Amino acid sequence: MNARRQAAALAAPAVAVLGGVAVAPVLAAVWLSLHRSILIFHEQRWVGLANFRFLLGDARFGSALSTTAYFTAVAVSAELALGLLVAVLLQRGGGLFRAAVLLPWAVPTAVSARMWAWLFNPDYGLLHRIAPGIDWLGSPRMALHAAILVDVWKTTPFVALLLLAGLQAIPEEVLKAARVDGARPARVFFSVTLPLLRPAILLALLFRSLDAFRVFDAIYVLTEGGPANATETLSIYAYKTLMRSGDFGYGSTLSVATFACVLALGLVWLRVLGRRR
Amino acid sequence: MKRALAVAAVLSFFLGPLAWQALTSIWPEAELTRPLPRSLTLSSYAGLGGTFARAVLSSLVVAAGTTAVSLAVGASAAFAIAKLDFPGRRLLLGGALAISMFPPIATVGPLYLVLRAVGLRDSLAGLVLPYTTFALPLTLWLLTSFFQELPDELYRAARVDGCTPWQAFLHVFLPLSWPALATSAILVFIFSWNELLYALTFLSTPTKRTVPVAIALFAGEHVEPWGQIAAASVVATLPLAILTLLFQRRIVSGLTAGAVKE
Amino acid sequence: MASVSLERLRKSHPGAPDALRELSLEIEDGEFVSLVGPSGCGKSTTLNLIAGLDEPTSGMVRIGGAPVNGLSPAERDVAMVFQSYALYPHKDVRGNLAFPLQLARLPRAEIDRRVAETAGLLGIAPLLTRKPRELSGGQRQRVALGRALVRKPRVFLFDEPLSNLDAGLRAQLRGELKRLHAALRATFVYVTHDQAEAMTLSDRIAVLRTGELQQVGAPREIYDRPANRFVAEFFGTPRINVVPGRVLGVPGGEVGIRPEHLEILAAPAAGALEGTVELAELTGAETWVTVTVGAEQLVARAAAEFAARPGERIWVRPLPGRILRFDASGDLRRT
Repeated sequence: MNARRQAAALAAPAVAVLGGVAVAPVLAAVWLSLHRSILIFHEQRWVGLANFRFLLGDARFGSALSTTAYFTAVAVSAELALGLLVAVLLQRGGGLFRAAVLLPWAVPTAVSARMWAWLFNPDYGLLHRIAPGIDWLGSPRMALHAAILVDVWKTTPFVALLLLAGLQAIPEEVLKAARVDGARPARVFFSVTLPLLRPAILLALLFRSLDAFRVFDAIYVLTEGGPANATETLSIYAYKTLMRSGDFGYGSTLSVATFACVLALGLVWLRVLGRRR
Repeated sequence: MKRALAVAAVLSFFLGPLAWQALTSIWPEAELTRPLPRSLTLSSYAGLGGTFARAVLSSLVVAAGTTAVSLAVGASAAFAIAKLDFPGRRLLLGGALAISMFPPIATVGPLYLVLRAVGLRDSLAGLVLPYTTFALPLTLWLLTSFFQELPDELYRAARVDGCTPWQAFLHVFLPLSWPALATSAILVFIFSWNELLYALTFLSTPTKRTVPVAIALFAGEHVEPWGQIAAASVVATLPLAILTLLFQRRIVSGLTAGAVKE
Repeated sequence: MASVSLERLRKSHPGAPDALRELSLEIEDGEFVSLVGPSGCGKSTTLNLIAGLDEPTSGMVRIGGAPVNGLSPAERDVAMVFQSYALYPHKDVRGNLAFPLQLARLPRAEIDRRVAETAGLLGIAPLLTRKPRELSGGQRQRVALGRALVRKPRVFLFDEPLSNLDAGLRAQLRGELKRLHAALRATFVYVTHDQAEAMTLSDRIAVLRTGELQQVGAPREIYDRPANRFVAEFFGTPRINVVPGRVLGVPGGEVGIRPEHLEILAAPAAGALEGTVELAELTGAETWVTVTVGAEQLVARAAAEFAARPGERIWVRPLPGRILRFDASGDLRRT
């Protein structure tokens, strides 16, 4: 029918754009990952799965993967806990409070990373003056946690908003009924509110863990993956391989691997979400 | 009492670092070693110079361009998905959402090669299309939800009155969608302004850098110019802070759209 | 103005494979025909097929004798009035009325003339600069009507236009619609689930059930000689009494007798059945009496002054010639 063709025409530009800038490049990355391709040498030849075999034995990949996983797990847990607290406060807060809480989310990640770098500065940083002795960005163990702190600062507002929406969806009467039944406020929260909040929590977990796994901006600006690759996540490693070494073959392999991990993580969460329905 | 304490703690955690950065920006460079400044100065701002101003301009151009493109392309597609029947409409929405979850690192390599081949590598225009990877799904999601809320009978009435689907979109649905368009525009603008990876990878000329890149690569000759970095940060954050203050409610509803429905 | 022919229309969706099953119907030029039935019967589907908002899976729609399958609504020259009015919220009343004419690219002067004429006819001229949200339900429905009138189409389609109005307003607008039809002599195809509305408005009624046409006829015929039990039960308030035949002395099958055709007697008489009063409901103008006869319950209409109380003995007698006999499949048995 003519109407159907017109409908498709209305949607066609969006399909074309998304296909061109998202789907096609991912497919191209897969194709590139099967080649040995060094940009400056103009070298490009087919090597099949050799890159992937190398990947499996690549210790640096292994540590990037575990760094990313650790970062994701700790950051998301912290954001969830803190976000819940903030969400409860937001419920009865005004517009100004909301805007204030939203501010870290609106600040560019690069800017906030720089801001925290200054706070972390071992000589003059504010944190150093308050708690001297901790070399935040210089020690491999602390650096990752510094990055986690930056991420928590920046994205807790978003988590808080998602949880707030979930809180607002809980009917007042259910909470009142619990109080009438004799439950104290803390009990109401843990036995009634939290279970009803589960869909919102799972949604927040889905979005945040996928985001955290893809982390790049904060780490790049804060430590560039150092010290000694202690904060090198998958995206950082892939980026360096692509842009610093100009190795588009293995770099694409790393990118594809990262994509696969994010995909797997997403599918797991969707499964969990689906079962809860 | 407990609530006031909690609010104070939360506010100091979120706003404290920003306040400190603002203070640093007016702190004389020479006195940074002292616990507190003895005097305040605007020299850090003055020292920013034209490069940073150009960075702001670049960011404005790219953010505005991305907003324009994603709204133009996304609005009609969202209308089609919400109100019309064509094969693959749910796939398009689902696919768009999935695409927004792609790690940018997965597409940055091939995009770099393509942009280089087309000659758009070191250009602001060449940045807009990759930005639609996250801008378009967001626009589609927000606008589709909005159009779905508008009654179907409105479309049927327009059709019976003589509209083609395009005319129904142009004369009836688009005029009614200003709130959703505004929300999308604000969110897309903020996300585009904040983006780092693509801007870092595709732009090489220092004068073309966007604000996040400029701040990321900000370096003095011998020692980090913390005062200037702070000043740049304040300048970079100010437009977004104003946007957030003015449109706080829109932003919140946009970010949580669909979250409750899920 | 034109006739509408529906020839063996079939419509199936993925979720409803038999939304419409081989519907054939002839609507004369200038006729007021109602499509009536419970929800899901296919009446709105039929209307959409006539309008061109949807295409039939098979079968043909003709308007004015010419086939219109594949033509867009505008090309068919039909107008539609919706249940929820579907006024354009961002346009004022004048804008709503003018919109279809603008799309048809009529000259400005002609548009203004028609808008003024229609607004005057419907009494909404003082509302031309107001937006829909500033209007009452009745005013909105008039504007929706005006939007259809202004186009001077061949056929007017109505999709439950009065369902959203309260009872008083509904009655008032019903009268206006009837007068409008008489004045315009246009073809009206009217969808409703309200049998009383269909009875009072239509020249003919088409009764639909789960996608199939049950009966087409004038209101009198539909009421007095329903084609089957479903049609008999759909029309008439209170509902027709349907009981096994033997209750009224008819061998086999089922019989129906309308409440107004049951005489209430205080003493036994020839042809009367004995029963006990179960319930007596005063509606103001009359009393509906539920009587238990044997294992069955019959409802009869009595005068408002009827005074018997629950438990009292009573006799009911069906009026001769008013008993409807239904065979095993529910169809009316020809006597």
